[in-house]
Amino acid sequence: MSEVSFWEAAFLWRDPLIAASLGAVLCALCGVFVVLRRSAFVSAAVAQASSLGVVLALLAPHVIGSEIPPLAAGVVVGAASAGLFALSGRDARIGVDASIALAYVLAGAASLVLGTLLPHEYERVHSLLFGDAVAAPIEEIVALALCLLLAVVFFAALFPRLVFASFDPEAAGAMGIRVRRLDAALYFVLGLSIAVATRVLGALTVFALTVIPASGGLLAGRRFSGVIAWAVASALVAAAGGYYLSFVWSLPTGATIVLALGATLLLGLAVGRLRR
Amino acid sequence: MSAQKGSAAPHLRLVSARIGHRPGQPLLPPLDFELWPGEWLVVAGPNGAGKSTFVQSLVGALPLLGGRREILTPGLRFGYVPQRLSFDPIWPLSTLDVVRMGIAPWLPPFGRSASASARARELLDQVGLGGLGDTPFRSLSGGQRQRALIARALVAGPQVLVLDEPANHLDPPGERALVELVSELRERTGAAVVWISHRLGALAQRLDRIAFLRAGAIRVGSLQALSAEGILEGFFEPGKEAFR
Repeated sequence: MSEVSFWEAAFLWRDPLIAASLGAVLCALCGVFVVLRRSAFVSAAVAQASSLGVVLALLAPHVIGSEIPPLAAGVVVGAASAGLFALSGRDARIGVDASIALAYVLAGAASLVLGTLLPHEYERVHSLLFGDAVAAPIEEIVALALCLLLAVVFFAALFPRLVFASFDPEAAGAMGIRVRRLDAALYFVLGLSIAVATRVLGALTVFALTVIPASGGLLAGRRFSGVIAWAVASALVAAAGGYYLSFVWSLPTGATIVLALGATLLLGLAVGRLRR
Repeated sequence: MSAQKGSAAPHLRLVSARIGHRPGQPLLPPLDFELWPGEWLVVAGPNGAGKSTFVQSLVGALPLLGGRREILTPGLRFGYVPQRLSFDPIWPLSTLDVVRMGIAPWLPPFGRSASASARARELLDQVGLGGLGDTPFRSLSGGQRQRALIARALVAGPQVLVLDEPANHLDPPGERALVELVSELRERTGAAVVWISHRLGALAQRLDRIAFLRAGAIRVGSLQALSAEGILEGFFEPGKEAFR
C-alpha cells in the first residue's frame, strides 16, 4: 500500500490520468475499425515503424549533417507506414494482415541494424518511443487531445462511408466511394493516433487499448452504436481504474491498465452471453 | 419498361475506351458504348471473358486505360449488387443498417439522411424482407442477403442497377424468381438494369440488349441480332432455356 493517499497525491496523477483518459478514448475509437477490419496488429507495426523513424532521425546528423526532431520523425514514419497498409491492403496479391506483418518485421529489423550505429542511444530511443503512462508533459497531453479531436472529426464526418467501404469495398467502389483514398485516410488517422499514444502510454498499453475495448464491445453489443459506446466507456473505466489500482498497490501502471481492460473483456463476454 | 434509346440521351458513353487492369494490356479493342435509360442490358460471356472488368469501367470504379467516359445524366447514380453473399460476420450490423449503407456515397461529410430508414424499410418490404430490418444481417440466409443487397443498391434511387452474376447461387426456379423481382423493381423505379451473367437463362425474355464478350472481343446488340449473326453460337440456343 502507498503511504500517501491517492487523493492527497493528486498533483502526481492528475496529468498522467488526463493523458491516459485521452489516449483510452482515442485508441478505443480507432480500435473499433482496427478490430472490425481484422487489423489488430496495426498498433504493433506502427510502434516498430515509429522506432525506425526515431533511429533514422538520430542518424541524420551523422549522415546528412542536419538535425531532424526524433519524435516528429517517429510519428511521421509511424503514420506513413499505416497509410501504406491501406494502399497494399486492397491489392489482391497481398492482404492487409501480411502488409502489417511485413512492416512489423522489416521496420523492427532495420531499427536493430541501424541501431548498432548508435550504441549509446539505445536508452534514448526507447524512452523517446515508449511512454509508461506515469509521466505526461503538457505537450504530450496537447498532442493526444489534438489527435482525439482529429479522430472524432474524421469519424463523425465520414462514418457511413467508412462503414460501407470497410464492410463491402467492392460495392462501395462501384457505387461511387473512392475506397483506396478513404482507406489511406483511415490508416493515416489510425497510424498518427497510435504513434502519438504509444509515445505517451507505452506500446503494450496502446496495443491493448486498440484491441480489447472494441473486442469487448463486439462481445457485449449487438448494434454498432452500442459497440462504440462500450469500447469508449470500458477503455475509460479501465484506464482510470487501472491507474488508481497501480497507484494504491504500487503496480506497473501500463500493465495494470491492460489487466483492467482484460476484466472489462470478461464483463463484455458475460453481458453478451446474458443477452443471447 | 424497355430501353428508351432514341427518345432520350444515354446515361453515359464510353468513347474509344480501353479497359483493363494493367496499363498497356487492354482487355478489349478500343470501345464505343452507350448505356440508355431504362434499358435491361445483359453483359454475358464465358467465365474469364472480362465481364466484370467491363462493368467496373462502365460504372467508373476502374479507371480507363485510355479513351474517355462521359456522364450525360447529371448526378448519375449506380446501385451495385455484388456477386458474393458472404461477409465478415463480426460486423454488428442489422439488415436495415446494411440497406442504409446504400445512401452513404451520396451523403456530404457529417451528413445524415433522415429519410433513409423509411426508404430502406420500404425497399425491404418490396424485396420480401419486411419485418427483418432489425435482424442481424449475418443471420440471414444467402437468398435473403441477396435481396437485402438489392434493396441496398436501390435505396439511393439510382438510375442504373448493376447486378454481378446474381443467379450464380440459384437453381432455375430461384433464378426466375430473382429475374421477376428485378423486373418489378425496374418497373417501379425506372432504373436501367445491367446484369452480368455467364448464361442467359430466364433473362432471355427480359433483356433489351446483350454486350457479349468472348476471346478479347465484345459485340453489343439485341438477342435476335446477335443470334442471327451467330455471335452467340455455343452460348445461347433460341427456343431453349438451358444455356451454357
